[in-house]
Amino acid sequence: MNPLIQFKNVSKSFGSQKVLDRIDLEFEKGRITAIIGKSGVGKSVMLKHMIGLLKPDNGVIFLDGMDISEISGKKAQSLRQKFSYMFQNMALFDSMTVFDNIALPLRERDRLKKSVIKTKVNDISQKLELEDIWHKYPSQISGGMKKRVALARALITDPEIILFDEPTTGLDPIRKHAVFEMISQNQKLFNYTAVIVTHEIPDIFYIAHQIAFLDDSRILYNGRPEGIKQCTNPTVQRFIEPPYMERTSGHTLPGSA
Amino acid sequence: MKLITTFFLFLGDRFITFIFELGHITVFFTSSCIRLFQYPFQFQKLVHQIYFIGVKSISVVCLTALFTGMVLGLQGYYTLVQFGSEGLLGSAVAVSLIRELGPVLTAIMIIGRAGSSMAAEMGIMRISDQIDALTTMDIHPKRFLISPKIGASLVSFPLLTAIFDVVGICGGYLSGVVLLGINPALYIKGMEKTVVMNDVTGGFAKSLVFAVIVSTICLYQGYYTHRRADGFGAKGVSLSTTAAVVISCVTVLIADYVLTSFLL
Repeated sequence: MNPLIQFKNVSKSFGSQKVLDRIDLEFEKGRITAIIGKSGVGKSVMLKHMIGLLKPDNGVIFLDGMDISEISGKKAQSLRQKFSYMFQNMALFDSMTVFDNIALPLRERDRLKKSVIKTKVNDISQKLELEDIWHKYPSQISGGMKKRVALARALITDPEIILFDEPTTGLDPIRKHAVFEMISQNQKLFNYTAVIVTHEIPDIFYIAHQIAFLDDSRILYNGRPEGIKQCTNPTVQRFIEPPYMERTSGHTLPGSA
Repeated sequence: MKLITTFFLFLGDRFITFIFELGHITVFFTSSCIRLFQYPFQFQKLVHQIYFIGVKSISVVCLTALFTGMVLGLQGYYTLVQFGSEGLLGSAVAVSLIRELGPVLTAIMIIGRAGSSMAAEMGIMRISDQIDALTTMDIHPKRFLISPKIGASLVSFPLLTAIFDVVGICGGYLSGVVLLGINPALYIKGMEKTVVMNDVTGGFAKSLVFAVIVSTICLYQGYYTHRRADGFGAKGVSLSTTAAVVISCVTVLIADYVLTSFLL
């Protein structure tokens, strides 16, 4: 397959804390790749490198074969327009209504007509059940709703690459499945490349084509979801086997009677 | 000897940081200003910001101007009456307001009302990833957030200064003529004789410089909240807001001295 995004020997530190250490990873075009791992290991940092919000201390990131650090001006702009990013904390504009938040990239970047914007926002709102809260501000809606608004804003520009930073955290199981289903269906429909940072195991295994496991600044597993169970690394095994499975298989949790 | 070396090292470090910040803030202002004139013009956002910075500051500027004028009238009267020159009250009030107090006090009132709010708004947007979100959407954050505010400040500061001058002169009239009984014709005539066009243009020039200083410092402090070494999150925003107010007030006073020495 053709790698769309390539990390080559990428390292990143914040002060004395090394977050990424000589990472080599490829993200295939038109596929869903999930980056999993414990909280705070640098999964979001990887996403921020892809879109240029952070720059690596060492190593190179290639996008479609081009070193992103060497792309500037109009070319960089056109590349950025291929991306959409859904932030972990949603990053909604709290002084704007839900409608304005979703419509912002269409209004400010694509400069579409009001009628076109309304139709597009209406379409995505129907899919994500957001029509009733158009007039509300982010502070007036629940965390789950905010997630859906952020998701709507990420999807509305029909990007080629979508980076999802924990898109289902805080959602109830039904909506969580709906979001994953929507990501998967839309990916099949529009053939976009998706990179998802998530902790939703095993749900993510059903929609992802590739899984990368990040821990201790290194990639411990990179491959198809079916293969991760065969991975012998104890950290990976501990992560993909949740405690409730241990309980049901006769083991007891540490500290429990 | 070691103490002296440490002292000079500290001094040098501070000086280099200052030069670096000065360069950075100049680039910040210039790039934001250029984007103000980029097509398509953000006319609606500019008007909205003029409303926020200018129109919403009118009441506080009027109140400050009225009482400043009244105090000037009182102090001026009791000083001038000792020399039998109370007829000069109008000119004394008008000159001090138009040349100095109008631009300076207007700037300080706007720092308190709009400058602190701009710094806090930018800071909160920065720590909640809203500014990064604009970048990821390929919307230039400086064009979208900073340029309209700088443009609105350039429009609002001179207009508010003009309002300050007029209301202040009325305040001086109120205490000097209405309360202390100076001849109203003397107050007005004295003003007419003393105030020249250069005073007015000098005052407006000062207000434009203050607009650049205040808007740039306040927005810069908020926009780069995340670079603060002494505080993150909410604490960082609070420190940036305080720094924005303190630095812009001090810079306005320093710039006032420098400008006055050139204009006189």
